[in-house]
Formats: sequence, structure tokens, C-alpha cells
Amino acid sequence: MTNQKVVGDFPKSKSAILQMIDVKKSFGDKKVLDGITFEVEEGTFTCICGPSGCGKSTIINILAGYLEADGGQCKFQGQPITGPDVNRLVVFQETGLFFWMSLWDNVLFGPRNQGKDLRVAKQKARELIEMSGLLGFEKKYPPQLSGGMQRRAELIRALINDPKVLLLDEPFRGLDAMTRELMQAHFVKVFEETKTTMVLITSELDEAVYMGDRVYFLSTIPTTVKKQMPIPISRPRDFKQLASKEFSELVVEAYETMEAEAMKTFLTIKREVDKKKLFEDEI
Amino acid sequence: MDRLKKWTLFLLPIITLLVLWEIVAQSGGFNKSLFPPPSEVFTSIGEMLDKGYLIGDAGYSIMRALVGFALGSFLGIVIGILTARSTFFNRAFMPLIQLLRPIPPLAFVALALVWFGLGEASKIFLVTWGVFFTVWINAYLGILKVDINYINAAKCLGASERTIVKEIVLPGALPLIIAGMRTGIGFAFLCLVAAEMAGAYIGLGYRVEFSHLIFRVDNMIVCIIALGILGASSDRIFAYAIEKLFPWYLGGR
Repeated sequence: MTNQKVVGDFPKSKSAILQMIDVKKSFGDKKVLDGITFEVEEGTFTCICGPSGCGKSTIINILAGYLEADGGQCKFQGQPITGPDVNRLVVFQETGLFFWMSLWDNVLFGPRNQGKDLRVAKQKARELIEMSGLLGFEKKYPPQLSGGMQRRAELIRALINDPKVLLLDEPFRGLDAMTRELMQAHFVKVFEETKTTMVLITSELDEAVYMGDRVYFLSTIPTTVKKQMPIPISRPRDFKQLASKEFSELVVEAYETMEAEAMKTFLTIKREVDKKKLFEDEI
Repeated sequence: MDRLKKWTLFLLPIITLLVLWEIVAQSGGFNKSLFPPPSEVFTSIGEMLDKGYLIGDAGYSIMRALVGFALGSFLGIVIGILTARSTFFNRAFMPLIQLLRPIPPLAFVALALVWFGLGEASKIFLVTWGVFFTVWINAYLGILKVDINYINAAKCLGASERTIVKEIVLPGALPLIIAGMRTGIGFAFLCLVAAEMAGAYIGLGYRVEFSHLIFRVDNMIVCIIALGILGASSDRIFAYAIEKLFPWYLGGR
């Protein structure tokens, strides 16, 4: 198998805030990441797209410092990543809000534990809560909030710490279509206003094209970066651009890139099912 | 109207049971001193109160159950944290706990009496013993099962190991710990009554055994009903306290 380490016009910019160079990771015998190379420029929105089960969350976990790579380099601001850090915060799949704390306590958890000035933090929390349309819900517990509110609350909990990078691990998973679109728009707005570098893991191609400045496409397992694609749609972005020709052409290109990979996954699953069937027939 | 319906549904089965019991016991087919009707049981409540039995018995039983339950729960949670969060304690404690856990607590009744005498220590020891294991295993599993995302999130938000245990791991494991404690209430009464029946001077279990010796089945039934009421109300009080202390426990609303 030819291992393409670098694909396309790999940006060698000095402003790379996050870098993965030939990162490998296996779980037991299962090779998950097989030489992942990409970088994230400061102040941009980077999307990482891949078929389901290709180890997208593993990449986030390595970038966050929760997991150690087996090989290759992983750098934040030029320094090797050694562990979790308040500058690289994750917004989790489903929700990572502490369900035993009110929204307000969730938001202030970071500042409190970092020993920051709580008066300033509270003021900031109020602003962020207002900006996210969650005023009046401060005393509520996460299970009392809707899915969309939980995602916004989790974004606030991260943003209040002024992280250098936000790692979004399929944050819209499990939301209904309508809420999902609203949340995408909300996250785009937050990105454009705060200029916080964001890395979004997703399996939805139009989401990636709509939100990102650059999209990396991953292969099926063992995973490599198959292709990257800059998204030259101007910012601020809004829903109207979703209907533009430019947008749909990019989405089509993305689909063509991913279809082959998605098909591979699909066929593997089908083959396994067929094999099982055959086996059952023999019995 | 809805309230009335609720109360009717609550009381009707109880009243039906009492009426059926009365009819069967009064039918003449049974020896009344072996199978006393509820009317006689009720009159014997007054008689027992006059002799100063019931209140003191219940008081001592409640005190023993409460102290034992609190001690057992406390130890269960503390050792649960230690065995789940520290490899050292896990290696050191686990084999011992797993060796002792399968032994039915009732097997220790006689031993506890020999060691701790007929006083309070033997009762409290047995209740603590019975409550400890069920709380421990729930706390241990609950802590191990706390979603790693919560711990990771807390870590990168700057929390120390102390804060993680106090503010993330314990509340995250609380649903299982509470379930363990609720099961523990049942174990507390089980061990308590066994210990009181085997040797005591006072207590509801003792009174059951004593009534047996003096052949007062009506008094036995009174004590058994009292134990039932105690068990049910402690469960309700526990549930109420949990709701007040941890409003998020049932998802609020």
C-alpha cells in the first residue's frame, strides 16, 4: 500500500497552530491511524471529514492530549503535545456538560479551577450566555435543556477560558435537522466574532463545506489523509450561500472525494454480513 | 376528585386485606391465639404501649439501623473511591473485599455476639457489615463507569485530582451510589433484626423473639408490622432527602 503522507498543496505556513506529522495509532492489533499529516492555521476553521469508524475521534483525542500517538509528531504552537491543556478545549459528541451542575456552574467550572478572577469571569459568562440566547436558563441543569441549548452551553463553557483552539468532536450529532442547521450557523457566527481557531470533526460534507475554511478528507481505516480542499467562500457566511453555485460545486467535489471511501466502508460491512450469512447457512 | 381517587387506590387494598384477614380469623377454623384477627392485634398495640414496650423498641432499632447504615455507607463510599481511583488501594484491598463479600452477613451473627456482646456494638457492627458491601460495590462500579469525557473535560479545564474526585467522579457516580444505599436500607433491617433476635435486651427484633417465647403471636405481628412501616418510611425519607439534596438526580423539572 502506498502511503501518501502529504497530499496537494500542503500549507507550510508559519502560522500553523496545530500540526500532525505522520501520526500513527493502533488499538491492539487494529491499525487506526496510518500516518496522518495535516496542519491547522491560526484563526481558521478546519474541518476533518471521514467515513464513520475511521478514527476521527482518535485524532481529536490525540490533539486534546487525552491519547498518545504511537508514532509521528503532534505539535501545538510548535511544541509537542504532552497532555490536556486549557488552550485546547474539546466540545464533545452528545454532551460533556456535567449533569449535576447548573448551566451557570458548568460555565464557571474552568475559571474557578484555574484560579481566575471570578468577578471578571462572571461578567464574561453573562455576556456569553446572552450572546447564545440562554438568558434565564442559568439555574437549569443540563437534562432540563434541549439538545441545541446543551451544545451552546458547552460552547460557552469552553469559550469562557479563551482557548487558543477549540476541538469540536461531531458536536451536532444527535440533533434534529432544524436544530442542527441553527447550531451550525451559531458556531459559524461565534467563530467569525471570536476568531478562535476551530477544528471540526464531522461526517457531514455540506456541514464541513459550509463551516470550514479548509477541509481534510480521511480514508477508511487504516486512516490516512486522502485529500484537502480549501473553501474559498467569503465570510461572514450565512444560509443564503448554501444555495449558491459556488457552494454546491464544492459540495459535489467533496462528495466525489468521499464517495469511493464511503463505498469501501459500505462494502466491507456488506461483505462481513454476507460472510456471516454464509456461515449461518452452513449451520 | 383526583386526590380522592389516589387515596382510595392507596387504602383499598390495605382495607380489603384487613377485612379478609378478620373474616378468616373470626371464622372459627383457626386457633385465635395462633392466628389472631387484626382487631385483636390492634388492641394489643395499646397493651404493649402501656407496658412501655413499643416506643423504646422502635427507638433502639431505629438508632442501631441509622448508625450502622451511616457507618456502612461512609466506609463503602470511601473505600469505593480508594479502590476505584488508586491502583495501590485496589491491589491491597480488592482480594480481601472479594473474599469477604460473598459471605452472607447473617453468618456473622453468632460471632458478633461473642465478640461484641449483647449491647449496641454487635448490632451496629452487623448492620455496618451488611450495608458496607452493597454500597461499596455500587460506589466502586459507579466511579469506574463515570464517562471518561467528564474527567477529560475537567482535566483540560484545569481541575486537580482532588477536584476531579470531589466534583466530577463522586457526583457522576452518585446515581449508582444512591441505588446501592437504597438497597443497603433493606440489608440494614435484615441484619438488624437477625442480630436483635439472636441476642438483645431491647429492639423490635428482640420483641418478636420475646413474644415468641411468651407465646404472644399478636405482639409478634405488631412488631412485624412496625418493622414494615419503619422500612417503608425510611425508604421514602431517603428518596425525599435525595431529591432535596441533589435536585438534578432525577433530571430535575
